[in-house]
Amino acid sequence: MGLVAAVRARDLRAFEQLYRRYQPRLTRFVGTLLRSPGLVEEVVNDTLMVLWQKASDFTGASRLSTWLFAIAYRKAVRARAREPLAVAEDAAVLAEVADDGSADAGLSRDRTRQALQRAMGVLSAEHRAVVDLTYFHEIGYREIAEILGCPVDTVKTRMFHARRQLRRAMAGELADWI
Amino acid sequence: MLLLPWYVTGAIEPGDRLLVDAHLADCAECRDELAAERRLHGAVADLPAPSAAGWDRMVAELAQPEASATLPRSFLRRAGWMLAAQAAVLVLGVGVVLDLQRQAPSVAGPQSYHALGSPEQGQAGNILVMFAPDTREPALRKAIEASGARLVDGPTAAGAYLLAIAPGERAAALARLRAQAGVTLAQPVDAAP
Repeated sequence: MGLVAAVRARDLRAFEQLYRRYQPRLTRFVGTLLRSPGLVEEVVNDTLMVLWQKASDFTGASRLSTWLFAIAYRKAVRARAREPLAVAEDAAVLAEVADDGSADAGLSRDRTRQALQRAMGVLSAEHRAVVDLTYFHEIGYREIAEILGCPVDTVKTRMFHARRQLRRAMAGELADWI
Repeated sequence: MLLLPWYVTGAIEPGDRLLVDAHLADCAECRDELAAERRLHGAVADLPAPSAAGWDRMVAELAQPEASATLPRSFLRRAGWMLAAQAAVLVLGVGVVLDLQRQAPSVAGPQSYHALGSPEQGQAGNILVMFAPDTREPALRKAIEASGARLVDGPTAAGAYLLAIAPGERAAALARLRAQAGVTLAQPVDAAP
């Protein structure tokens, strides 16, 4: 709470520390929900602006990361309506290009990565978000439920379906992924 | 096993962990699942993250009023971050500059005189400074005067001021500013490339 209290007192240096700590993580999280890099950056900056302008709304009832992720999630859902359709199509084309290239790429790590990225791209945004919150951010199911504003059981079942789907997609590409 | 992913990352409640432990002891199928789950965890965590503009770039952008046309949709345009309401700020900034110069012309010497409309008025600042919210105007003025730098813009919407000084003297000016009571931030800023 020390840094948040300092931000409340308009300490820009404290804000900078929190910005540096959370901006990369928020960018990654919002990137699972939106495809357009411009929109992702906008949502992340807007989220951190809430911290700068309304730090007093943070009561400490949850962790700061949970509070910020929840704000980012709501903003991302609203921004999705403004997501240009063309971007999604471009992403699909890129995925196909990556697919062609992967046959020549020698490194299995790269192949795994590309296959996983394609598989993640096929998931719904909600499923993708749960996978990333769990495996990259290593956040527990209760906090994920708080961030997404859904029941804890929904988080668990989304994760269950997402990983089944991912592993099915991966198994088709790489035998060692079964 | 719905809980396996969080068992793998460790973000699991103690009671649930015991449940999974007990189940894994009995179930070979879930032990295999666990191994696959660990690989999936590693692979997802290994995925590259999208890059994003950092703080330094943002601060540099904030300090460049002329660059506003090329700013990304970020703090600046949408939320009126530091340089929001630029026109008003510029007018106010010029007013403050003139005011400071009228009140303390002897401190910085005659070379720091800048009549309204002289070319230097449009000079970009290279120091960003912020003061504690309760700083009174005399203390603020004293800090800026003591730094030897010239006020070129501010206060911005966020309460920051932009100062200008010869590049060779900037480090010393920053040190002087940081030594002043009430200064919460004194940071070099440079023109965006």
